[in-house]
Amino acid sequence: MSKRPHTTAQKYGDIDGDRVDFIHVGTEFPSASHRPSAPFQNQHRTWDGKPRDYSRDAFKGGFNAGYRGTAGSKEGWQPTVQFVSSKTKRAERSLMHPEDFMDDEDLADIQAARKIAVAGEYAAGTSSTVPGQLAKAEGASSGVVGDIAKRMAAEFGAIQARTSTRIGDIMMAKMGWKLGQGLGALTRVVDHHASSAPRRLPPKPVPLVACAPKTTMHGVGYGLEAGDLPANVDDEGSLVEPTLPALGALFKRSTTKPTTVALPSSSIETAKAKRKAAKTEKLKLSFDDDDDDDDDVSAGGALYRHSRDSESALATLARKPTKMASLTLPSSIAAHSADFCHDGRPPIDGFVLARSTEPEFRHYDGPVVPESFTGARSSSQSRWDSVPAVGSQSRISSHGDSLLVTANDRALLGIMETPGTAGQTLQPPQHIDTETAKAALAGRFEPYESDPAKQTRYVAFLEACASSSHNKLLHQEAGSACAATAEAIEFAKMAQVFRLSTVMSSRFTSGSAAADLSSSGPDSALKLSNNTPTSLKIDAIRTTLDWTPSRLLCKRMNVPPPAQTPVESSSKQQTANNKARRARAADFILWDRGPNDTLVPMVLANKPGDEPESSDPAQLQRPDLSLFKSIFGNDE
Amino acid sequence: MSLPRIQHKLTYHRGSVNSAVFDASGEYIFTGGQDKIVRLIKSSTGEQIQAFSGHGWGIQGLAVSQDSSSLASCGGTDRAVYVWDVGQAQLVRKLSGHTQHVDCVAISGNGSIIASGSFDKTVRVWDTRSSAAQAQLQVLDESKDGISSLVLTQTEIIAGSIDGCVRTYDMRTGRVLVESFGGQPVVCARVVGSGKCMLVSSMGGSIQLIDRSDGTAMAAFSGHKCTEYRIQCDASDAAVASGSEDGFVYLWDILRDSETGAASRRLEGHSGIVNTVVFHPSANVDQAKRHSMLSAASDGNVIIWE
Repeated sequence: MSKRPHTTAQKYGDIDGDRVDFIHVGTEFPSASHRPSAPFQNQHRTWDGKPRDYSRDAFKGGFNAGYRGTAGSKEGWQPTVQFVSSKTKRAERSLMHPEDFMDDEDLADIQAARKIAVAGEYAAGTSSTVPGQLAKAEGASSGVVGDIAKRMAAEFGAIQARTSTRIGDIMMAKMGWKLGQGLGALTRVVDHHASSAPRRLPPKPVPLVACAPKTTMHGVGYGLEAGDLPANVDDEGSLVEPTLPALGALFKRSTTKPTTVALPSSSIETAKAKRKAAKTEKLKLSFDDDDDDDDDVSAGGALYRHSRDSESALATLARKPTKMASLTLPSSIAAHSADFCHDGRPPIDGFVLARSTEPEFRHYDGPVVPESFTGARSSSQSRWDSVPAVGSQSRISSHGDSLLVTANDRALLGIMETPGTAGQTLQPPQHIDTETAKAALAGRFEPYESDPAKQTRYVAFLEACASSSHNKLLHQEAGSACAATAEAIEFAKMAQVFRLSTVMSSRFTSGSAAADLSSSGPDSALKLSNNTPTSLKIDAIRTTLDWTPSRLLCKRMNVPPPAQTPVESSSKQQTANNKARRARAADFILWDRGPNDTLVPMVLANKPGDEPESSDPAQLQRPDLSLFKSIFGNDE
Repeated sequence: MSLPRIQHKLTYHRGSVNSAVFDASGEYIFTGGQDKIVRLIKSSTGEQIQAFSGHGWGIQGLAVSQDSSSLASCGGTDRAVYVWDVGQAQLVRKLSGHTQHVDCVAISGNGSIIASGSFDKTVRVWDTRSSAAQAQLQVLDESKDGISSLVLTQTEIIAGSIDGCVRTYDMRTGRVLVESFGGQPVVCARVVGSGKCMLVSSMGGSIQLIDRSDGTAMAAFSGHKCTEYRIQCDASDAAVASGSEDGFVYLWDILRDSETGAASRRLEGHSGIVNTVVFHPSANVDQAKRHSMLSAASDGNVIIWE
């Protein structure tokens, strides 16, 4: 926006100098007086530079048109345009090249795939022209050209390494990861040969663990020899790290019988030399030497150097002899290498190999019991003495308070108060009645075969109970009265369970007397054989149920099916059934004229044989059966 | 009764040998164990002829057809029945349907019907001639507990169960005969004596010889140890043999030892639990083979007795 000049304001005259009624947009043209005149030659030229008198019409020049000025010349008339046969072009067009079908991306890939190799004469001191052999010729490299060649080879190798066929790399690349970027944060690497600042490079690649499937039934490490331990399969790792046996190397199949073989010392030295060579192997950095931390692709995973810290650790590992002799049994390994685990590696920091097989038991003293304390049971009595041996869960306390046994049960069992309680006298046990004792004796089940004395006491107990002579103490041989009481309870339980009428007594018989079949109760579910005194015969209890085998099963077994097997009709029969069903259905369905003159099904409530509810035959108009057939289709 | 001698002691298997059977002729034996391999061995020479690999878990049961052309095997956690072509040594079919591990399998004479018993309390009957979708003919789920043994006769399917019963499914009459033997788990049920008798071994250390006509116990044998594992037994016309958890093979004379029930012979040769004992198919016919039997144990050894 610009203000009007003073002259304009004066011309209009009705505004003051500050008011603006209109604005100027753009740049003013210079006045005509200042406009330079067009040059003479352009004044007579048209828009395309042709002279104004140039004729744009068709050929009007006459016979000498185009030949103007060529008469008498050395060259004569020469066509301005060379004739080009379209057939020739057509032939050229039929020759298609792969590049004709490629788009820009493909062409870029081709460009990237073109390899540039260093010629043999410029290789590092060798006559080889293969780029892969450049790394081997490192020792003989000399001169600047050799170094440059190696750098270039390393760089091109890194470029080649950009493409990876491993599925993990492919997946990570799709997420934005680049090959050579490594996993994890960038590590600081000190280049001790150069005086530059420490570089930040991708972390060392994690070596793959070689795992061979375990096909034997042997334990881990069984039958393994030192020579069977493979190196890391990851080539990059083998270049920068010492050759250590992979974790999975222990799970290798052993085809021969394992024998304890000592590893020859030369193998150890070879392993040491390999590790040293890997440690001292130096790979030059790429020629793209600008310190750009984001430039991580060019510095591939195989190009970084060791830091001094990592080298010291490697040196330590290299110095330590990895004794892998006699790897057949873990015990032999432990015997030979005291500082290493069975796989030859030192234990993790903070851990120490346990050498003693015997665990250290720590015994803690129990609490100090006051002298005036009297527990629930006396110290002389074992806690198990108060518990019947047949599995009863009742617990009896010395105070007569039974937690789980009711008073009735206690009376039946004749639970005695243990000595040590005031005012209690020992009562002879009235455990079982005479009939039970006789039944137990008749059952001839004699437990406690491993303890004849106890067995004798048991029989005596039963005889005493059967004869109702309860007054004498029967268990004087059992030790203390408390043990005798507990034993009596146990005998009572045994007699209750193993009396003749129960199942258990029928399973176990003695060889002296025959079983008393008359004493068997009405609920005895088993029949006993009375011809073998020590027989364990058990007759089967039979029940019969109904079962329907499938017809195909009977057919396969060549057995006629039983009567209750349902008949499975064939397909033809099913078709006939469907026809008959539809014919019957036709009798139920009537069609009625609905709105718009359409057929609407009208279902009858009654069967065709019944009298219709409506007596007006005009309302029921059954169409022909052919209509139903046309609707429902034909089964054939 | 003369004492059988060890003819061959086979150590092909690694791990426990759970099942061993004779073929119909008795010339070959099939063994299967924890190493998931079924081995075909010539009984006369003890030479291994073929190994069938395909199971993913240990093998619990084996069954051979009458013509020795088909072999059915069942594994533990496989939950499937594997059907092999013996001649081609290839896996022909894999019958899946059980929901728990399959413990026993039986095959009909012509190999068309396979019955399998599983821990899922069912007996499944398979048709080998049908397609995979229709291979399962019938499921028998009357049992209250896992199936421990299975026998397939011409007209019956006999299943012994851990619930203490032996169920006989008769296809002719359409009835199931349930026989209970005192509540002890039945670990082995065999049909002996030309189908007239049945040998039932229960956990607890007793073997019953049952008359199938009325269910009466004709004889009972004990002395071996069977308290934790499934120990199989077998009987010929003259003797009853059973494995034991103490590493011995127990032999009873049917006539003489049926009164006492105690074992007349105890054969030593294994160092582990003797899982199965099988008599030679010709033991009832050939006098020379009357003591010929096969035993397999948890020590990985298979012994052919002669």
